[in-house]
Amino acid sequence: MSGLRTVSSSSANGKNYDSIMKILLVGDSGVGKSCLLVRFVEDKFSPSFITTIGIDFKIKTVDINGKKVKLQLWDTAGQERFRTITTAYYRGAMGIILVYDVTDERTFANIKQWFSTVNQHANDEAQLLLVGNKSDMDTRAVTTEQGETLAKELGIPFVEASAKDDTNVNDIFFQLAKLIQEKIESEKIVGGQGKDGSININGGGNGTKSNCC
Amino acid sequence: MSAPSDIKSELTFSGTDSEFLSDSVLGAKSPVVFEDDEQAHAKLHTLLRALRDGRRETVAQLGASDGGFLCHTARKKCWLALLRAMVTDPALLTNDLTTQAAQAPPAASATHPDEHQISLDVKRSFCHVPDSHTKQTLRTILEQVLVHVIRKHSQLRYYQGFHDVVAVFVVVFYCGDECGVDDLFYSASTSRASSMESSPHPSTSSDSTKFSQDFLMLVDLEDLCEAVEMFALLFLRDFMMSSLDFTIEQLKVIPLLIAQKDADFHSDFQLGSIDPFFAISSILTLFSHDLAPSISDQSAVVFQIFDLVISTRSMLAPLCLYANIVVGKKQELVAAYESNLSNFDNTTDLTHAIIQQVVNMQFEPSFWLQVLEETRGSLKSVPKCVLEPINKYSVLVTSAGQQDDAVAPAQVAGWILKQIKFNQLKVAQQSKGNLDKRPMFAKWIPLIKKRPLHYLKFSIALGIAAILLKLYIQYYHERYPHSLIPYLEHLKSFKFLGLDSAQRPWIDPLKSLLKLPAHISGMMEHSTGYRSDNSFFIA
Repeated sequence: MSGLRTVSSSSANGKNYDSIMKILLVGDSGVGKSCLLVRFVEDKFSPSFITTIGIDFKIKTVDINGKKVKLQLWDTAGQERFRTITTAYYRGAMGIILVYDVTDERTFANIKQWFSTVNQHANDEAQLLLVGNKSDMDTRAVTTEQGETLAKELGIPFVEASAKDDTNVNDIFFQLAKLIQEKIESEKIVGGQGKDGSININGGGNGTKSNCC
Repeated sequence: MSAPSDIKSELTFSGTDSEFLSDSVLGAKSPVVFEDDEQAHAKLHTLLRALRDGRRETVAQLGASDGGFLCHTARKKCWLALLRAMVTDPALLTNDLTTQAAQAPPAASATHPDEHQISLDVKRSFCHVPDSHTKQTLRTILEQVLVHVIRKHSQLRYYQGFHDVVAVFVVVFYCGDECGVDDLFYSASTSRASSMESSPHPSTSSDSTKFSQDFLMLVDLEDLCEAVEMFALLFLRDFMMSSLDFTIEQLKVIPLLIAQKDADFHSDFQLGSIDPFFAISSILTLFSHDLAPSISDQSAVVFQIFDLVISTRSMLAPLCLYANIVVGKKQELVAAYESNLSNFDNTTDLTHAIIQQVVNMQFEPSFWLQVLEETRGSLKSVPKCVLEPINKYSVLVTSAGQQDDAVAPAQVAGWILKQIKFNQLKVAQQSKGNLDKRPMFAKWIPLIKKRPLHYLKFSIALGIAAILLKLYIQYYHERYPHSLIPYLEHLKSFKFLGLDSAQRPWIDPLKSLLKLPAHISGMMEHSTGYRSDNSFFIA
């Protein structure tokens, strides 16, 4: 396993960003993963957005603490049968967003299942984030407190958002990117900076987590 | 374009094609042929005559040519006729197959576990249709057809993407006889729409009864369901298993086809070593996920792809087309690959991202024309070796592998059953593999969960036994301080098999049996220098 990696750029090779982060969105079908992503990347919303079959890739460059970070965003299909395929893309993910629909209890109950799938296939160092989408809806079935409790239980941060009225959508991605950035900074202090400013954090789970690549 | 009114919709193909068809009518070579209305009209005329006369080969030949079946009125009739001609007894296939396969009464009234997923996907279908009434009507038809087909063939599973395929059929059958379908559906869809609002998952028995009433009323819906059922059973069943294994098998054909066309490109892109998951949505939906079926453009590429697949009876066609598109976009892919090499964590990500970026299916008409033409040309000459990843019940080697003969419904039922069994076996093997990879304690968890009381009792008993033993040893030690310790010391010296130790026949019963007679052991000592210790033999 290649582990976490920020591919740093340097002005020398003419890239217009400082680092790259791989982020994945997972969760049940219909919770609004693609809607969150399209709202964030293209600032659009359609109530009847197209289904995701397999896995889709999008990219957006953002500014985090004065650094230009290119976010590689991987949107996955929610139907269980696609899990064989989508888990192949967990490799090297630095951030994973677990999404449920606040109006559908079933999607909330399945978060634990998603959490264990993520733990099974992703790097140990990947930063997770729990998101309750569709917070604008009146037909809410999962309270904010329930979301917070679950997040605490899983030991991950939590955001409630709405792709429809654009509540907290940017927060999701910025908060996650910042957490990843902080993780990388602390790894740098522990393990030393790599060549060209890139670092490679191995997924081995032992004491020394950083080495040069 | 309107079709002559004297076409029979009920057709059985029996005769062979003897009519001369000029190249211009087939339109196989020239990219500009259908700019000429007259030629298109001539093709349509020939097509409808062949259809009326039951000349399957001519219909198939025209469907596989440039432009396909041209308009939905002809397309609808041709699809149905060609699909029916694939089985010896079409009515038996769609009516009695469930009974034969599942050996249970027709499951049309029972709900299917995938209906919730269907309703989620139907809500997100026909997004490109601007008119909200038309959109709602199309969604209503789509949901009815999906639920009907999946309930009737309950041994098959619904997959996300099947709704995209069926949406193409819905558009063709809806626009193919728009007036008739729309009028008949208007009353049905309004009453149904209200019932859908109150219950998002139409799974109540009253709904299904209502559906069967609509179903009997609407001849066109009946045709639509029949076409979809046959297409699902004969072309899509690999995708409709409980897992993606057979879908992945099909995807693996793509790199092999690319290797046939361009070996350098195949090796430069390391296509032999990565999973071609990037193609999954195109293959599962026959490109209809990216090329949504337009209700205004009846000659859109997606309809021509379906025309080609049905006319050639070939699920290899989408795989070939995908391979041809990738090779056709080689220059852009190589450029994107090189400029993105340092941006990705691994080759799977890199290849997926650049293919998704370059092969986005939004191509110029001339490029589509070129790749479709290549596909038509190469389909017959595809070497057998590309089908190496495919199981022997797959549609690619049975019902949708360009066979000429009609198959018996019982045979189709047999393939489905065997494929389902084979798939279950694969799934079981994989989950066993996954279980074996888990740490030891994780393997016990399901056992403990299964009979928690048994294991609780066992643990308590074990604990009590340990305490009793400890107490007994303490008591014994206090009472006879000298008798136990030497014995334990002695046990220590045993090491494992009692080697180099005194004879303990209860620990090693073979030892005494293998003891050599004195004269032989004396000889051995003499010749080899080994001690005549039995441990030599035991070891």
